[in-house]
Parts: sequence; C-alpha cells; structure tokens
Amino acid sequence: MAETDADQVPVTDFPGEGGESRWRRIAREGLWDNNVAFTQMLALCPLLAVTSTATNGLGLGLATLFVMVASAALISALRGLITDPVRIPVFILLIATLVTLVDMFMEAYLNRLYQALGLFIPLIVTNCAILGRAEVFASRHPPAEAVFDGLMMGLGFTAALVVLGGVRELLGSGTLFQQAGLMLGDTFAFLEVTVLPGYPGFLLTILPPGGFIALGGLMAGKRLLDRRREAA
Amino acid sequence: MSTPERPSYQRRTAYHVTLLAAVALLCSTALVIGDQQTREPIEAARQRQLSEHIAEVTPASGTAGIAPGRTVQIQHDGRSHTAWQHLEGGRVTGVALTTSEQGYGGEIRVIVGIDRQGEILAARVLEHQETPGLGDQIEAERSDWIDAFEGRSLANTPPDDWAVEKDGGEFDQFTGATITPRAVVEAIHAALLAFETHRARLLDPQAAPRHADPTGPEEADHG
Repeated sequence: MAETDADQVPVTDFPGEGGESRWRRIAREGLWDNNVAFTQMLALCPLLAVTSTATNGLGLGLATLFVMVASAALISALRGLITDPVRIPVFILLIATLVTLVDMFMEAYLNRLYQALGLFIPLIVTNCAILGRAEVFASRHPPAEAVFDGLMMGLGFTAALVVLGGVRELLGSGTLFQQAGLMLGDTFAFLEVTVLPGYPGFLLTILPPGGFIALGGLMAGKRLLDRRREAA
Repeated sequence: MSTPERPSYQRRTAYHVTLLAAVALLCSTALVIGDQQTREPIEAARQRQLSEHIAEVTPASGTAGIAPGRTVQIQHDGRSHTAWQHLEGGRVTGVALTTSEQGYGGEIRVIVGIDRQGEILAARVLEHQETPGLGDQIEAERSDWIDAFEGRSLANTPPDDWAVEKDGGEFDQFTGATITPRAVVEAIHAALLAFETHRARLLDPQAAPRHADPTGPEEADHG
C-alpha cells in the first residue's frame, strides 16, 4: 500500500490578503467568497427541491448548519487518527451516524420542531457540502477553527437558501416567509408578509425549473458584484 | 497548521483496516444506543399525534370515548382500513376510519370521522409526501381545504360529484396540484363506501378485540 501520508500536502493558511486575521478570513470565505451554494455550487439537489419558500429555505439551512458544526468538531478532533487511504469512508460513516442520531433524538424529544424540520433531515445525509468541508477543512485544522468554519459555511448556506427561497416565493406567490409561525412557533408569525396582495401567482418559479432559473440569476448577480468590487 | 508527521504505526495497512472497522463499530454502537433511547419517546409521540388526529375527527367529547388500542380492521375494494370506535354509554356514536390513496409523491394517509348516519364529521391528513408549497395545502394547518368534506355523505353527494372540479366534481383543486386533491377525494370516498358496506360491524361495540396493552400489535404500523 502506498504511503500517502508522507507526501500529504501540508495545508497551510488561506491564500488571502496579508494582515487579515485567520478568523476574519474564515468568516469571509464561508459567508461570501466561497459560499457553498453560490460559489462552490454544492448541495444543489436539496436546495432546489425545498426552496420554494423562504421558510423552507431557513429550515433546511438551520438543519444543515447544525450538522455541519457538529461534524466539523467530531472530524477535527479525530483528525490525528484518521489516515488518508480510509478517510472518505470514515467521514461518511461519522456524518451519516450523526445525522441519523439527530433525526432520532429530534423526533423523540423535540417533536414539534421535528414536524416542521423532519422533512429536511434525511436530505442532509446526501449533502456533499458537509463531506466537502470535512475533507477540505475540518480534517486539517484544530477543532476551534473547524467549528468556526462549519458555522460560517452553514450561515452562508442558510443565507443563500433564504434569499433563493425568498425570491422564488415573492415571484411565485407574492408572499414572504409563509408559515414561518408553523416552523418557528407563533412568536415568529410576524415574519409572514403578503407583499403583493391579490397577486395571481407565477407557478414556474415555485417548480424546480424555476429554482434553477432563480439560482442562475442570483449567481450571475453575485459574480457581477464581485467583478465590480475587483474593478474598484 | 500543517498535518503533523504520521507516526510509523499509522502507515501500516493493518492500521487503516483497524481504524475503519473501529469507526464502523463505534458508529453502529452509537446508533443502537440512540435507537433504544428514542424508541419509546418516538412511539409515544406518534401515538399522541394519532390520538390528536382521532380527537379532531370524532364528536365533540374528543378522545374520551375512544380506546386507542381497540381497533376494528376492515378490508374493502383492495384497501385495508383501521377504525377506532367512539363509544358513549356502550353505543358506538361514530368511527374514525383510516384510508389511503397514491398521491403525487407517495401514499397519502387520511383519517375520516364518520357518524352513525354515514355523514363525515371531519377529515385530516395523517401522512403524505406531497410537494411542499403545492400539495401540502391538504394539511389542515396550512389551508381550510380539507374542511370541504364536513357534512358530506354518500346520500347528499352522488358518486359523480366525488371528484375535483377539473374532473367535473364538487371539490376544488389547487393551483399547480391536481393529483394531490384528487387522491384525497378518492381516499375519502373509498372510506365512505367501506363504511357503508361494513356498517354493521363498525357500529358493533363488540367488534373490537379487547387488548390489555394500549399499543397492541394491530396498531404498530399506524403511528
């Protein structure tokens, strides 16, 4: 068996601008520069399936955020033991176990929340973004940084999902955060807004093809912004 | 920040194999423990939900007259239905009957409350996998569509009217989802037909076997 460990590429700091603190750089990468959905373009399958409303986007985003942070902590803590040739199956085992446990405990003890989010949890197992972060970051950095990276990547993903869901919901049915009260409890019912009363609805944006179109539009928008920022 | 140099034992094939096996073993153990820890609360939560749904579709006194473990099983026209009897003073005043039909994303399971005269008290969707935002309007929490079935019976709604408007029936469809409401209408109609055929048995207070255990075997798959 080849001794891949010996020639493993030492992963050092990000190739960011000098002087910026490591933590700030992790945050910027996760939230914007290397955003899971808009730049890495990972996890698009669950993303397009559920983001027909901003509330659904928020639900999937929060569930992903939680699993991302937990798996980052676990994998980073075990990184001294996990060797290269078997790392992928080990990551998959750990992530799948974690998601299954979250699913079971949530249904058992947080049943109300499970009614709203339960639909999204099995989608997370198939979320390549989590495996991607385990491979690229968590397995090569100490736990504190890995957890922070998971948090920032998760927040970036959640933000992308909420924006995409919001755009589709607004264009599709003229509302925003429909049924937020059902998911987050009645305290958050105030989020539900009918922006365009009497709007007849535009079905395409709610269906999956509309998801692709909206995602494409948002990605183009992000690139435009980035380019303008570079030029300045 | 670079990966520390690996100790020599970590470079052996045996180490990789052992590591993978150990992780697999640990994960399985965690899952077994998790499953044991959560099995009872999950079952209890599902039972509680089922009782809530039964209460929503039966007479005003709620679950008071219902014994969750006492069910009547009937087969009709290729479907199997489970019925909970609502008892008042030894007399069955109504039943909550489960029914199902294939929807767009999978089976839709519905529970229908029917009184002695065969009139619908209320209906609720127990389980479905319809598209969020489109087909999920069949849930009572999301729209009042399902209330359209209240007071319906085979007597006041002829067979041709048990369909969505698009198919010439009495019930609305939703924008972008016809298959889902069509399936619910079918399922509820089937429940009424089954009730009509098996009326005598469903309204017989002796029909349900008595079980000491409230979560008897015949209920296991109806959580």
